Amino acid sequence: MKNTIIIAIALSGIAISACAQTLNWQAFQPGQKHLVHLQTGWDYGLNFGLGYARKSNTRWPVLTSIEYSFPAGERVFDDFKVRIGGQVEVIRAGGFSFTAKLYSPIRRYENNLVRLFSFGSEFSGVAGFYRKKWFVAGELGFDKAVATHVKHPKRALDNYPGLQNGWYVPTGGNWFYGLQAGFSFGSNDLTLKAGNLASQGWETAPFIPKYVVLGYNRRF
Amino acid sequence: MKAKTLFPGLILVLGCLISACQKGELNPSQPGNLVPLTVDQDPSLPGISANGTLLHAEAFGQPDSALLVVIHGGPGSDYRYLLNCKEFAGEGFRVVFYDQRGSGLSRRHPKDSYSIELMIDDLRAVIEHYKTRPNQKVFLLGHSWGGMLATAYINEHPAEIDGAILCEPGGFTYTQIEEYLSRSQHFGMFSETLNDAVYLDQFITGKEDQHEILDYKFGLWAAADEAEDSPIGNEGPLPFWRSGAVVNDALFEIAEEQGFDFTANLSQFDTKTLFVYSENNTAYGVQHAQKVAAAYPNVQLFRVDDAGHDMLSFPRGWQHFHPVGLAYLNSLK
Repeated sequence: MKNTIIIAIALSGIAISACAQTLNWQAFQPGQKHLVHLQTGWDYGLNFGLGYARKSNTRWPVLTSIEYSFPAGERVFDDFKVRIGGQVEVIRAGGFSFTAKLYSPIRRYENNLVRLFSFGSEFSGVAGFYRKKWFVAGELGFDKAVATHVKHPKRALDNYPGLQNGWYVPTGGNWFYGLQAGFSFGSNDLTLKAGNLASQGWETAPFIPKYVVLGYNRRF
Repeated sequence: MKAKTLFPGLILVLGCLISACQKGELNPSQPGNLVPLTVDQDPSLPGISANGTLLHAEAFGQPDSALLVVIHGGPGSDYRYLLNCKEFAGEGFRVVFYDQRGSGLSRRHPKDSYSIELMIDDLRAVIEHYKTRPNQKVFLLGHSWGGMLATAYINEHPAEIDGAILCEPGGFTYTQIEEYLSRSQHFGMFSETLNDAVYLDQFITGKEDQHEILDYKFGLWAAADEAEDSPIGNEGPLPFWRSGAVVNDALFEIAEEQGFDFTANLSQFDTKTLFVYSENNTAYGVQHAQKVAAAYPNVQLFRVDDAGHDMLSFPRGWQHFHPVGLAYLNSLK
Protein backbone atom coordinates (compact mmCIF):
# COMPACT_ATOMS: atom_id res chain seq x y z
CA MET A 1 0.00 0.00 0.00
CA LYS A 2 2.85 2.32 0.84
CA ASN A 3 4.25 1.82 -2.64
CA THR A 4 0.87 2.67 -4.14
CA ILE A 5 0.83 6.00 -2.37
CA ILE A 6 4.40 6.87 -3.26
CA ILE A 7 3.76 6.05 -6.92
CA ALA A 8 0.56 8.11 -6.88
CA ILE A 9 2.37 11.07 -5.40
CA ALA A 10 5.27 10.76 -7.80
CA LEU A 11 2.86 10.71 -10.74
CA SER A 12 1.09 13.71 -9.28
CA GLY A 13 4.39 15.55 -9.20
CA ILE A 14 5.00 14.79 -12.84
CA ALA A 15 1.51 15.90 -13.74
CA ILE A 16 1.98 19.11 -11.90
CA SER A 17 4.56 20.03 -14.47
CA ALA A 18 1.97 18.98 -16.88
CA CYS A 19 -2.20 20.56 -16.08
CA ALA A 20 -7.11 21.02 -14.89
CA GLN A 21 -10.55 22.57 -15.22
CA THR A 22 -12.99 22.01 -18.00
CA LEU A 23 -11.49 24.15 -20.71
CA ASN A 24 -11.02 24.79 -24.39
CA TRP A 25 -7.31 24.87 -25.28
CA GLN A 26 -8.02 26.52 -28.63
CA ALA A 27 -9.79 29.46 -27.01
CA PHE A 28 -6.59 30.65 -25.31
CA GLN A 29 -5.43 33.84 -27.00
CA PRO A 30 -1.78 34.86 -27.38
CA GLY A 31 -0.45 36.26 -24.14
CA GLN A 32 -3.11 34.67 -21.98
CA LYS A 33 -1.47 32.63 -19.24
CA HIS A 34 -3.92 32.74 -16.36
CA LEU A 35 -7.37 31.44 -15.74
CA VAL A 36 -9.79 31.85 -12.85
CA HIS A 37 -12.62 29.42 -12.55
CA LEU A 38 -16.02 29.27 -10.85
CA GLN A 39 -18.23 26.23 -10.78
CA THR A 40 -21.40 24.85 -9.29
CA GLY A 41 -23.37 21.69 -9.73
CA TRP A 42 -23.98 18.23 -8.42
CA ASP A 43 -20.77 16.35 -7.72
CA TYR A 44 -21.17 14.19 -4.57
CA GLY A 45 -23.66 16.80 -3.37
CA LEU A 46 -24.53 20.32 -4.37
CA ASN A 47 -21.12 21.94 -4.77
CA PHE A 48 -19.62 25.37 -5.19
CA GLY A 49 -16.03 25.89 -6.21
CA LEU A 50 -13.39 28.28 -7.41
CA GLY A 51 -9.93 27.84 -8.77
CA TYR A 52 -6.89 29.33 -10.38
CA ALA A 53 -4.77 27.90 -13.18
CA ARG A 54 -1.65 28.92 -15.06
CA LYS A 55 -0.83 27.91 -18.61
CA SER A 56 2.72 27.08 -19.61
CA ASN A 57 3.80 27.14 -23.23
CA THR A 58 5.98 24.07 -23.22
CA ARG A 59 6.21 21.51 -26.04
CA TRP A 60 2.84 20.25 -24.92
CA PRO A 61 0.45 22.88 -23.51
CA VAL A 62 0.21 22.49 -19.77
CA LEU A 63 -2.22 23.96 -17.24
CA THR A 64 -1.38 23.69 -13.55
CA SER A 65 -4.15 24.51 -11.15
CA ILE A 66 -5.49 24.64 -7.64
CA GLU A 67 -9.20 24.39 -6.86
CA TYR A 68 -11.30 24.64 -3.72
CA SER A 69 -14.86 23.39 -3.51
CA PHE A 70 -17.38 22.73 -0.78
CA PRO A 71 -20.84 21.21 -0.59
CA ALA A 72 -24.02 22.99 0.50
CA GLY A 73 -25.13 22.68 4.11
CA GLU A 74 -25.52 24.69 7.27
CA ARG A 75 -21.94 23.96 8.36
CA VAL A 76 -19.92 25.53 5.57
CA PHE A 77 -16.36 24.58 6.48
CA ASP A 78 -16.71 21.03 7.80
CA ASP A 79 -16.59 19.43 4.34
CA PHE A 80 -14.37 20.52 1.47
CA LYS A 81 -12.10 19.41 -1.33
CA VAL A 82 -8.88 21.00 -2.55
CA ARG A 83 -7.49 19.68 -5.82
CA ILE A 84 -3.94 20.42 -6.85
CA GLY A 85 -2.69 19.18 -10.18
CA GLY A 86 -2.81 19.77 -13.82
CA GLN A 87 -3.63 18.77 -17.34
CA VAL A 88 -1.61 18.45 -20.48
CA GLU A 89 -2.80 18.38 -24.06
CA VAL A 90 -0.87 15.41 -25.37
CA ILE A 91 -2.49 15.06 -28.81
CA ARG A 92 -3.81 17.68 -31.16
CA ALA A 93 -4.70 16.74 -34.71
CA GLY A 94 -6.82 19.24 -36.54
CA GLY A 95 -9.85 19.80 -34.32
CA PHE A 96 -9.26 16.61 -32.34
CA SER A 97 -7.57 16.87 -28.97
CA PHE A 98 -6.70 14.48 -26.16
CA THR A 99 -5.89 15.83 -22.69
CA ALA A 100 -4.50 13.88 -19.75
CA LYS A 101 -5.30 15.14 -16.24
CA LEU A 102 -3.84 14.28 -12.89
CA TYR A 103 -4.76 15.77 -9.55
CA SER A 104 -4.19 15.20 -5.87
CA PRO A 105 -7.46 15.80 -4.07
CA ILE A 106 -7.33 16.64 -0.38
CA ARG A 107 -10.72 16.17 1.26
CA ARG A 108 -12.37 16.68 4.60
CA TYR A 109 -15.71 15.35 5.83
CA GLU A 110 -17.48 15.55 9.16
CA ASN A 111 -20.80 14.41 10.53
CA ASN A 112 -22.00 13.47 14.03
CA LEU A 113 -20.26 10.10 13.92
CA VAL A 114 -16.91 10.68 12.25
CA ARG A 115 -14.34 13.13 10.92
CA LEU A 116 -12.44 12.10 7.79
CA PHE A 117 -9.39 13.69 6.20
CA SER A 118 -8.19 12.15 2.99
CA PHE A 119 -5.40 12.34 0.44
CA GLY A 120 -6.16 10.99 -2.99
CA SER A 121 -5.21 10.70 -6.62
CA GLU A 122 -7.39 11.48 -9.61
CA PHE A 123 -6.49 10.41 -13.13
CA SER A 124 -8.59 11.15 -16.20
CA GLY A 125 -8.51 11.59 -19.94
CA VAL A 126 -10.59 13.91 -22.10
CA ALA A 127 -10.92 13.49 -25.85
CA GLY A 128 -13.03 15.48 -28.25
CA PHE A 129 -13.39 18.11 -30.93
CA TYR A 130 -12.37 21.66 -30.23
CA ARG A 131 -12.90 24.90 -32.13
CA LYS A 132 -12.08 28.44 -31.04
CA LYS A 133 -15.66 29.11 -29.90
CA TRP A 134 -16.89 25.69 -28.80
CA PHE A 135 -15.91 22.16 -27.91
CA VAL A 136 -17.51 18.83 -27.15
CA ALA A 137 -15.64 15.94 -25.54
CA GLY A 138 -15.91 12.75 -23.56
CA GLU A 139 -14.08 12.02 -20.31
CA LEU A 140 -13.16 8.94 -18.32
CA GLY A 141 -11.35 8.97 -15.01
CA PHE A 142 -10.71 7.38 -11.65
CA ASP A 143 -10.66 9.15 -8.29
CA LYS A 144 -9.00 7.22 -5.49
CA ALA A 145 -9.05 7.97 -1.76
CA VAL A 146 -5.53 6.72 -1.12
CA ALA A 147 -5.16 7.40 2.60
CA THR A 148 -7.87 8.59 4.96
CA HIS A 149 -7.51 9.65 8.57
CA VAL A 150 -10.54 8.53 10.55
CA LYS A 151 -11.36 10.16 13.88
CA HIS A 152 -14.43 9.23 15.89
CA PRO A 153 -16.08 11.39 18.52
CA LYS A 154 -16.87 10.02 21.98
CA ARG A 155 -20.44 9.16 21.12
CA ALA A 156 -19.32 6.86 18.27
CA LEU A 157 -16.78 5.22 20.59
CA ASP A 158 -19.49 4.79 23.21
CA ASN A 159 -21.54 2.95 20.60
CA TYR A 160 -18.63 0.69 19.59
CA PRO A 161 -15.55 0.99 21.84
CA GLY A 162 -13.47 -1.12 19.44
CA LEU A 163 -13.44 1.60 16.77
CA GLN A 164 -9.89 2.30 15.65
CA ASN A 165 -8.92 5.90 14.95
CA GLY A 166 -6.03 6.43 12.56
CA TRP A 167 -4.92 6.25 8.94
CA TYR A 168 -6.76 3.80 6.75
CA VAL A 169 -5.17 2.78 3.45
CA PRO A 170 -6.93 2.77 1.02
CA THR A 171 -10.58 3.58 1.64
CA GLY A 172 -12.01 3.49 -1.84
CA GLY A 173 -12.30 5.00 -5.25
CA ASN A 174 -14.81 5.89 -7.93
CA TRP A 175 -14.86 5.85 -11.70
CA PHE A 176 -16.42 8.76 -13.52
CA TYR A 177 -17.32 9.02 -17.18
CA GLY A 178 -19.39 11.45 -19.16
CA LEU A 179 -19.54 14.26 -21.66
CA GLN A 180 -18.45 17.88 -21.51
CA ALA A 181 -19.05 20.84 -23.75
CA GLY A 182 -18.31 24.53 -23.74
CA PHE A 183 -18.88 27.84 -25.42
CA SER A 184 -16.22 30.57 -25.56
CA PHE A 185 -16.72 34.29 -26.06
CA GLY A 186 -13.98 36.92 -25.70
CA SER A 187 -11.89 35.85 -22.73
CA ASN A 188 -14.69 33.81 -21.20
CA ASP A 189 -15.74 30.17 -21.32
CA LEU A 190 -19.01 28.63 -20.19
CA THR A 191 -18.70 24.89 -19.70
CA LEU A 192 -20.98 22.04 -18.77
CA LYS A 193 -20.05 18.48 -17.91
CA ALA A 194 -22.27 15.59 -16.91
CA GLY A 195 -21.87 11.90 -16.40
CA ASN A 196 -22.06 8.83 -14.23
CA LEU A 197 -20.18 7.56 -11.20
CA ALA A 198 -19.40 3.95 -10.30
CA SER A 199 -17.44 2.61 -7.40
CA GLN A 200 -14.13 0.84 -7.79
CA GLY A 201 -14.80 -2.66 -9.11
CA TRP A 202 -18.01 -1.42 -10.81
CA GLU A 203 -20.10 -3.53 -8.36
CA THR A 204 -21.55 -0.74 -6.25
CA ALA A 205 -22.39 2.89 -6.90
CA PRO A 206 -22.44 6.13 -4.98
CA PHE A 207 -25.73 7.17 -3.37
CA ILE A 208 -26.52 9.42 -6.34
CA PRO A 209 -24.29 8.14 -9.16
CA LYS A 210 -24.44 11.22 -11.37
CA TYR A 211 -22.60 14.48 -11.75
CA VAL A 212 -23.56 17.70 -13.51
CA VAL A 213 -21.24 20.69 -13.20
CA LEU A 214 -21.60 24.13 -14.74
CA GLY A 215 -18.39 26.15 -14.97
CA TYR A 216 -17.21 29.61 -15.90
CA ASN A 217 -13.61 30.46 -16.86
CA ARG A 218 -12.06 33.87 -17.26
CA ARG A 219 -8.76 33.95 -19.13
CA PHE A 220 -6.23 36.79 -18.86
CA MET B 1 6.87 31.93 -6.28
CA LYS B 2 6.21 30.71 -9.80
CA ALA B 3 3.59 28.06 -10.34
CA LYS B 4 6.08 25.62 -11.84
CA THR B 5 7.97 25.51 -8.53
CA LEU B 6 5.01 26.08 -6.22
CA PHE B 7 2.99 23.06 -7.30
CA PRO B 8 5.76 20.46 -7.23
CA GLY B 9 6.67 21.84 -3.82
CA LEU B 10 3.14 21.35 -2.57
CA ILE B 11 3.09 17.83 -3.93
CA LEU B 12 6.38 17.05 -2.22
CA VAL B 13 4.91 18.25 1.08
CA LEU B 14 1.85 16.12 0.47
CA GLY B 15 4.02 13.11 -0.28
CA CYS B 16 5.94 13.57 2.95
CA LEU B 17 2.68 13.90 4.88
CA ILE B 18 1.27 10.71 3.39
CA SER B 19 4.50 8.82 3.99
CA ALA B 20 4.32 9.93 7.61
CA CYS B 21 0.76 8.63 7.74
CA GLN B 22 1.94 5.16 6.78
CA LYS B 23 3.23 4.39 10.24
CA GLY B 24 0.60 2.21 11.80
CA GLU B 25 -1.72 2.23 8.79
CA LEU B 26 -5.03 0.46 9.29
CA ASN B 27 -6.95 -1.80 6.95
CA PRO B 28 -10.64 -0.83 6.62
CA SER B 29 -11.52 -4.42 5.67
CA GLN B 30 -9.99 -5.87 8.84
CA PRO B 31 -12.88 -7.19 10.98
CA GLY B 32 -13.09 -5.27 14.22
CA ASN B 33 -11.38 -2.06 13.09
CA LEU B 34 -14.48 -0.13 12.04
CA VAL B 35 -17.31 -2.52 12.85
CA PRO B 36 -17.61 -5.26 15.48
CA LEU B 37 -17.11 -8.94 14.72
CA THR B 38 -20.10 -11.03 13.73
CA VAL B 39 -21.29 -14.17 15.48
CA ASP B 40 -19.34 -16.44 13.10
CA GLN B 41 -16.14 -14.46 13.79
CA ASP B 42 -16.54 -14.19 17.56
CA PRO B 43 -17.75 -17.40 19.26
CA SER B 44 -18.32 -15.55 22.55
CA LEU B 45 -21.40 -13.82 21.07
CA PRO B 46 -24.78 -15.39 21.78
CA GLY B 47 -26.14 -17.00 18.65
CA ILE B 48 -28.16 -19.76 17.08
CA SER B 49 -27.83 -21.83 13.96
CA ALA B 50 -31.02 -21.49 11.95
CA ASN B 51 -32.07 -22.06 8.34
CA GLY B 52 -28.52 -22.50 7.15
CA THR B 53 -27.00 -19.43 8.77
CA LEU B 54 -25.70 -18.18 12.09
CA LEU B 55 -27.82 -15.54 13.77
CA HIS B 56 -26.88 -13.31 16.65
CA ALA B 57 -29.73 -14.05 19.04
CA GLU B 58 -30.67 -14.29 22.69
CA ALA B 59 -33.79 -14.85 24.75
CA PHE B 60 -34.93 -13.71 28.18
CA GLY B 61 -37.66 -15.01 30.47
CA GLN B 62 -38.94 -18.49 31.25
CA PRO B 63 -38.50 -20.85 28.28
CA ASP B 64 -42.08 -22.16 28.59
CA SER B 65 -43.72 -18.71 28.68
CA ALA B 66 -45.48 -17.28 25.66
CA LEU B 67 -42.91 -16.29 23.02
CA LEU B 68 -42.55 -12.65 22.06
CA VAL B 69 -40.25 -12.42 19.06
CA VAL B 70 -38.86 -8.93 18.57
CA ILE B 71 -38.10 -8.08 14.93
CA HIS B 72 -35.86 -5.11 14.19
CA GLY B 73 -36.12 -2.63 11.36
CA GLY B 74 -33.92 -1.65 8.44
CA PRO B 75 -33.61 -3.90 6.60
CA GLY B 76 -30.11 -4.04 7.98
CA SER B 77 -30.48 -2.62 11.49
CA ASP B 78 -30.05 -4.73 14.62
CA TYR B 79 -31.94 -5.42 17.82
CA ARG B 80 -29.80 -3.30 20.13
CA TYR B 81 -32.18 -0.34 19.85
CA LEU B 82 -35.12 -2.52 20.90
CA LEU B 83 -33.66 -3.88 24.13
CA ASN B 84 -36.24 -1.97 26.18
CA CYS B 85 -38.56 -4.82 25.17
CA LYS B 86 -36.56 -7.03 27.54
CA GLU B 87 -38.89 -5.65 30.22
CA PHE B 88 -41.62 -8.02 28.98
CA ALA B 89 -39.43 -10.94 30.14
CA GLY B 90 -40.19 -9.99 33.73
CA GLU B 91 -43.88 -9.86 32.92
CA GLY B 92 -44.50 -13.43 31.90
CA PHE B 93 -43.08 -13.60 28.38
CA ARG B 94 -40.13 -15.32 26.78
CA VAL B 95 -38.65 -12.40 24.84
CA VAL B 96 -36.58 -13.42 21.82
CA PHE B 97 -34.23 -11.01 20.06
CA TYR B 98 -32.35 -11.83 16.87
CA ASP B 99 -30.37 -9.93 14.28
CA GLN B 100 -31.70 -10.84 10.87
CA ARG B 101 -29.49 -12.59 8.34
CA GLY B 102 -26.83 -10.17 7.10
CA SER B 103 -27.74 -7.62 9.79
CA GLY B 104 -26.25 -6.58 13.11
CA LEU B 105 -23.88 -9.25 14.38
CA SER B 106 -25.36 -12.09 12.33
CA ARG B 107 -23.42 -13.77 9.53
CA ARG B 108 -22.99 -11.96 6.19
CA HIS B 109 -23.95 -13.60 2.89
CA PRO B 110 -23.53 -12.74 -0.81
CA LYS B 111 -25.94 -10.14 -2.10
CA ASP B 112 -27.64 -12.45 -4.60
CA SER B 113 -28.55 -14.95 -1.87
CA TYR B 114 -31.05 -12.67 -0.09
CA SER B 115 -34.78 -12.72 -0.67
CA ILE B 116 -37.86 -11.71 1.27
CA GLU B 117 -38.91 -15.37 1.35
CA LEU B 118 -35.59 -16.26 2.97
CA MET B 119 -36.15 -13.66 5.69
CA ILE B 120 -39.59 -15.18 6.35
CA ASP B 121 -38.07 -18.68 6.53
CA ASP B 122 -35.41 -17.40 8.95
CA LEU B 123 -38.11 -15.98 11.23
CA ARG B 124 -39.89 -19.33 11.18
CA ALA B 125 -36.62 -21.08 12.07
CA VAL B 126 -36.07 -18.68 14.98
CA ILE B 127 -39.57 -19.38 16.32
CA GLU B 128 -39.02 -23.12 15.99
CA HIS B 129 -35.66 -22.84 17.75
CA TYR B 130 -37.10 -21.18 20.84
CA LYS B 131 -40.46 -22.97 20.99
CA THR B 132 -40.47 -25.55 23.76
CA ARG B 133 -43.95 -26.99 23.30
CA PRO B 134 -46.41 -27.23 20.40
CA ASN B 135 -49.18 -25.11 21.96
CA GLN B 136 -46.86 -22.35 23.18
CA LYS B 137 -48.30 -19.02 22.11
CA VAL B 138 -46.25 -16.90 19.73
CA PHE B 139 -46.45 -13.12 19.49
CA LEU B 140 -44.53 -10.92 17.07
CA LEU B 141 -43.36 -7.40 17.81
CA GLY B 142 -42.03 -5.76 14.68
CA HIS B 143 -40.65 -2.26 14.35
CA SER B 144 -40.54 -0.47 10.97
CA TRP B 145 -39.21 -3.04 8.44
CA GLY B 146 -39.64 -5.56 11.28
CA GLY B 147 -43.37 -4.82 11.24
CA MET B 148 -43.40 -5.48 7.51
CA LEU B 149 -41.56 -8.77 7.97
CA ALA B 150 -43.94 -9.77 10.76
CA THR B 151 -46.85 -9.04 8.42
CA ALA B 152 -45.25 -10.99 5.57
CA TYR B 153 -44.95 -13.90 7.98
CA ILE B 154 -48.57 -13.63 9.17
CA ASN B 155 -49.67 -13.37 5.54
CA GLU B 156 -48.05 -16.74 4.85
CA HIS B 157 -48.74 -18.45 8.18
CA PRO B 158 -51.80 -16.76 9.73
CA ALA B 159 -52.61 -19.72 11.98
CA GLU B 160 -49.17 -19.80 13.60
CA ILE B 161 -49.25 -16.39 15.28
CA ASP B 162 -51.35 -15.46 18.31
CA GLY B 163 -50.94 -11.70 18.18
CA ALA B 164 -48.80 -8.94 16.70
CA ILE B 165 -47.59 -5.49 17.66
CA LEU B 166 -46.59 -3.51 14.61
CA CYS B 167 -44.77 -0.23 15.13
CA GLU B 168 -44.78 2.09 12.11
CA PRO B 169 -44.24 -0.47 9.36
CA GLY B 170 -43.50 1.56 6.25
CA GLY B 171 -46.16 -0.28 4.26
CA PHE B 172 -47.39 -3.70 3.30
CA THR B 173 -47.24 -3.02 -0.44
CA TYR B 174 -44.51 -1.42 -2.50
CA THR B 175 -46.74 1.54 -3.29
CA GLN B 176 -47.20 2.29 0.41
CA ILE B 177 -43.45 2.08 0.99
CA GLU B 178 -42.75 4.46 -1.86
CA GLU B 179 -45.21 6.94 -0.41
CA TYR B 180 -43.70 6.74 3.05
CA LEU B 181 -40.07 6.94 1.93
CA SER B 182 -40.80 9.95 -0.25
CA ARG B 183 -41.76 11.77 2.95
CA SER B 184 -39.38 10.24 5.51
CA GLN B 185 -36.26 10.63 3.36
CA HIS B 186 -37.04 14.04 1.97
CA PHE B 187 -34.22 16.48 2.65
CA GLY B 188 -33.65 19.88 1.10
CA MET B 189 -31.10 20.22 -1.70
CA PHE B 190 -29.12 22.72 0.39
CA SER B 191 -29.34 20.78 3.66
CA GLU B 192 -26.38 19.53 5.64
CA THR B 193 -28.12 16.17 6.01
CA LEU B 194 -28.39 15.43 2.30
CA ASN B 195 -24.91 16.67 1.52
CA ASP B 196 -23.41 14.71 4.42
CA ALA B 197 -25.04 11.57 3.06
CA VAL B 198 -23.78 11.93 -0.50
CA TYR B 199 -20.40 13.66 0.06
CA LEU B 200 -19.22 10.59 1.97
CA ASP B 201 -19.18 8.56 -1.25
CA GLN B 202 -15.86 10.00 -2.34
CA PHE B 203 -14.11 8.89 0.87
CA ILE B 204 -15.32 5.35 1.42
CA THR B 205 -16.33 2.77 -1.16
CA GLY B 206 -16.42 -0.99 -1.12
CA LYS B 207 -17.05 -3.97 -3.33
CA GLU B 208 -20.10 -6.15 -2.73
CA ASP B 209 -18.16 -8.62 -0.60
CA GLN B 210 -16.36 -5.99 1.51
CA HIS B 211 -18.96 -6.11 4.25
CA GLU B 212 -16.83 -4.35 6.87
CA ILE B 213 -16.42 -1.26 4.71
CA LEU B 214 -19.98 -1.20 3.41
CA ASP B 215 -21.50 -1.79 6.86
CA TYR B 216 -19.38 0.96 8.40
CA LYS B 217 -20.38 3.44 5.71
CA PHE B 218 -24.04 2.47 6.04
CA GLY B 219 -23.77 3.07 9.79
CA LEU B 220 -22.43 6.57 9.16
CA TRP B 221 -25.55 7.36 7.17
CA ALA B 222 -27.56 6.72 10.35
CA ALA B 223 -26.54 10.23 11.39
CA ALA B 224 -29.22 11.47 8.97
CA ASP B 225 -31.98 10.03 11.16
CA GLU B 226 -31.01 12.21 14.09
CA ALA B 227 -30.64 15.40 12.09
CA GLU B 228 -32.76 18.37 13.08
CA ASP B 229 -34.42 18.42 9.66
CA SER B 230 -35.28 14.73 9.73
CA PRO B 231 -39.06 14.29 9.73
CA ILE B 232 -39.00 11.05 11.72
CA GLY B 233 -38.88 12.93 15.03
CA ASN B 234 -36.48 10.87 17.15
CA GLU B 235 -35.26 12.25 20.48
CA GLY B 236 -31.60 11.48 19.73
CA PRO B 237 -29.17 8.95 18.29
CA LEU B 238 -30.07 5.28 18.31
CA PRO B 239 -27.62 2.72 19.69
CA PHE B 240 -26.63 0.03 17.19
CA TRP B 241 -24.05 -2.72 16.85
CA ARG B 242 -23.50 -2.96 13.12
CA SER B 243 -25.52 -2.10 10.07
CA GLY B 244 -26.10 -4.59 7.27
CA ALA B 245 -25.48 -2.69 4.05
CA VAL B 246 -25.65 -5.57 1.60
CA VAL B 247 -28.90 -7.08 2.87
CA ASN B 248 -30.45 -3.61 2.86
CA ASP B 249 -29.37 -3.02 -0.71
CA ALA B 250 -30.44 -6.49 -1.82
CA LEU B 251 -33.95 -6.29 -0.34
CA PHE B 252 -34.56 -2.78 -1.63
CA GLU B 253 -33.47 -3.87 -5.09
CA ILE B 254 -35.85 -6.84 -4.96
CA ALA B 255 -38.68 -4.59 -3.83
CA GLU B 256 -38.00 -2.10 -6.61
CA GLU B 257 -37.71 -4.73 -9.31
CA GLN B 258 -40.44 -7.15 -8.25
CA GLY B 259 -42.67 -5.16 -5.91
CA PHE B 260 -44.42 -6.94 -3.04
CA ASP B 261 -47.81 -7.29 -1.44
CA PHE B 262 -48.03 -8.83 2.02
CA THR B 263 -51.79 -8.39 2.35
CA ALA B 264 -53.38 -11.17 0.26
CA ASN B 265 -54.18 -13.49 3.19
CA LEU B 266 -54.35 -11.04 6.09
CA SER B 267 -58.14 -11.29 6.09
CA GLN B 268 -57.67 -14.76 7.59
CA PHE B 269 -55.93 -13.28 10.61
CA ASP B 270 -58.85 -12.14 12.74
CA THR B 271 -56.88 -11.83 15.96
CA LYS B 272 -56.63 -8.26 17.16
CA THR B 273 -53.43 -6.52 16.02
CA LEU B 274 -51.90 -3.62 17.93
CA PHE B 275 -50.79 -1.03 15.36
CA VAL B 276 -48.56 1.68 16.80
CA TYR B 277 -47.51 5.01 15.32
CA SER B 278 -45.83 8.04 16.83
CA GLU B 279 -46.83 11.63 17.38
CA ASN B 280 -43.57 13.20 16.19
CA ASN B 281 -42.89 11.29 12.97
CA THR B 282 -44.45 13.75 10.59
CA ALA B 283 -43.74 11.47 7.63
CA TYR B 284 -46.07 8.82 9.06
CA GLY B 285 -49.12 10.27 10.80
CA VAL B 286 -52.58 8.92 11.41
CA GLN B 287 -53.58 8.87 7.76
CA HIS B 288 -50.73 6.61 6.71
CA ALA B 289 -51.24 4.49 9.82
CA GLN B 290 -54.92 3.98 8.95
CA LYS B 291 -54.09 3.21 5.34
CA VAL B 292 -51.47 0.59 6.19
CA ALA B 293 -53.38 -0.93 9.12
CA ALA B 294 -56.51 -1.34 7.01
CA ALA B 295 -55.12 -4.61 5.63
CA TYR B 296 -55.79 -6.24 9.01
CA PRO B 297 -59.42 -7.05 9.79
CA ASN B 298 -59.14 -6.41 13.54
CA VAL B 299 -56.87 -3.54 14.57
CA GLN B 300 -56.25 -1.46 17.66
CA LEU B 301 -54.60 1.75 16.53
CA PHE B 302 -52.46 3.47 19.14
CA ARG B 303 -50.50 6.72 18.91
CA VAL B 304 -47.41 7.02 21.11
CA ASP B 305 -47.28 10.63 22.21
CA ASP B 306 -44.09 12.61 22.66
CA ALA B 307 -42.05 10.18 20.53
CA GLY B 308 -40.78 9.69 16.99
CA HIS B 309 -40.31 6.72 14.66
CA ASP B 310 -38.12 4.82 17.14
CA MET B 311 -40.69 5.16 19.90
CA LEU B 312 -39.60 1.99 21.70
CA SER B 313 -36.01 3.15 22.16
CA PHE B 314 -36.31 6.38 24.11
CA PRO B 315 -37.66 6.87 27.64
CA ARG B 316 -40.71 8.99 26.83
CA GLY B 317 -41.93 6.77 24.02
CA TRP B 318 -41.31 3.60 25.98
CA GLN B 319 -43.19 4.92 29.01
CA HIS B 320 -46.20 5.64 26.83
CA PHE B 321 -46.03 2.42 24.85
CA HIS B 322 -45.20 -0.17 27.50
CA PRO B 323 -48.48 -0.28 29.47
CA VAL B 324 -50.53 -0.45 26.26
CA GLY B 325 -48.29 -3.12 24.77
CA LEU B 326 -48.40 -5.19 27.96
CA ALA B 327 -52.18 -4.92 28.25
CA TYR B 328 -52.51 -6.06 24.63
CA LEU B 329 -50.22 -9.05 25.11
CA ASN B 330 -51.89 -10.04 28.38
CA SER B 331 -55.30 -9.91 26.72
CA LEU B 332 -54.22 -12.59 24.26
CA LYS B 333 -51.88 -14.62 26.43
